[in-house]
Amino acid sequence: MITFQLNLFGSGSVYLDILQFLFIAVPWIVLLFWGQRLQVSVTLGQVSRNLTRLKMLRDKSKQVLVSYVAPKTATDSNTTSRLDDFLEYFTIPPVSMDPVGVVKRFDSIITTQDKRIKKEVEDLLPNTDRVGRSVAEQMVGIASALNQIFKIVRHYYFLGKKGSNYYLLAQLQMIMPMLLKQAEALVNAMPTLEMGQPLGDGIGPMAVALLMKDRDKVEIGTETVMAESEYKGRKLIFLKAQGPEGNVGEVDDALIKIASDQHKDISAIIMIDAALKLEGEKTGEVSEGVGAAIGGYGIEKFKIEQLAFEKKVPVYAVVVKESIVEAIGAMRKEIAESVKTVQESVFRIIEERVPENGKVVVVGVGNTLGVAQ
Amino acid sequence: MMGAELGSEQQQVVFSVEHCEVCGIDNKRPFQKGDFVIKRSGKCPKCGREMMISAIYAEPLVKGTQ
Ligand SMILES: [Zn+2]
Repeated sequence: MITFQLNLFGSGSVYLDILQFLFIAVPWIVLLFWGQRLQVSVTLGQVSRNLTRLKMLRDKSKQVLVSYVAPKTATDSNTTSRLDDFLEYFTIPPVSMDPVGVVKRFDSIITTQDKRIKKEVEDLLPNTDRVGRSVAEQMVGIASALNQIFKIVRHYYFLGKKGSNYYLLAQLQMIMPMLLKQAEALVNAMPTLEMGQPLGDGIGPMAVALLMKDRDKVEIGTETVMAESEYKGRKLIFLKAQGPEGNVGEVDDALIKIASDQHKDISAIIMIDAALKLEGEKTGEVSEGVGAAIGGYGIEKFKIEQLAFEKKVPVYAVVVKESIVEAIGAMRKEIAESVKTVQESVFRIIEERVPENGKVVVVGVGNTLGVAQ
Repeated sequence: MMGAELGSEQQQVVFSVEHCEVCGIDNKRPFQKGDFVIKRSGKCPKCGREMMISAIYAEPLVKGTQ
């Protein structure tokens, strides 16, 4: 075997044998001892390129935010530095060692956070209308999300680099394509926000808006509207965030309010929302299920589940499938066209599951930008 | 490699669909700033009544058709 290898070059010359040995053994030894370092430097290079791209996206989102806010501000002097501070704001989640009542505490923290953002934007844009201000709020959300993502990725990149930790860098390298895609989608959503176009996430409010458009609307709670209607002997109560501003309202609190005073005798809740599709599922596909269809941190979901449990009313869900990128971008045709199917599903559920003379609350969950009522 | 994937993100055009609630006619036109779903907009080509924006959506930009 060895003889065969040594004679590969077809000569018995000692020099050639040594040369061949060097060709085979040196790379082997190098890889054996420095292989991981090589791998680390290759991975570092890749992650570093992606990190640069992430930084570019973060800077672009800041730039779009500043160029949207600056011309509208009353005090033009230090808008950029004020916005920079704004992007560094943080929220400390409640302690969950003793989980009793954690949702209520979480709710209070998130409410404080939302109020603060609203107040800051209001101070910055005192002469802008509600739609314009809501757009600024959403843009702040996007810019600070990108700022956070960038800073966290950079943190792990430096940790991996310092300790030449291949496994840390490899994990970063693996999630980078997905992170970049989402970051890109967030940045691309900013012009959509600025134009006030409906987002993919707005399918729930849109389906409900088209049902409640000819009815009298009442503002019930923060940025949330309600309208009453009838269908085949059943009373329908529609609920959605107030549009066409970009906000999600407080449909959970509105639902609790409705069920605790005006309409104590509700017999069902139907929630319409966008749901994340699995890869391979078609965008705009409508499916039905049970349970509270509402995203976020889980606070709203918890409150609605609690209400349904206490009142012993079933919660039905009608969802429209879309990817995360589609949900944060301008609403696509396939999603908009699912409205008819969604409404058919809702009315079928009402006919089959709600008794005559019963009351049902139909909630359109999601961001209602570009969708009035 | 990653850049190619990101760069392939298709350009989109946004449309507003005006709908006549009497005749059921739909009129699709490019989105204009200030449009929103439910907004009264445009006259029906058949009955002359005011139409309503029933949908706003994005479609991928296909070369040659726009
Ligand atoms: Zn008409």
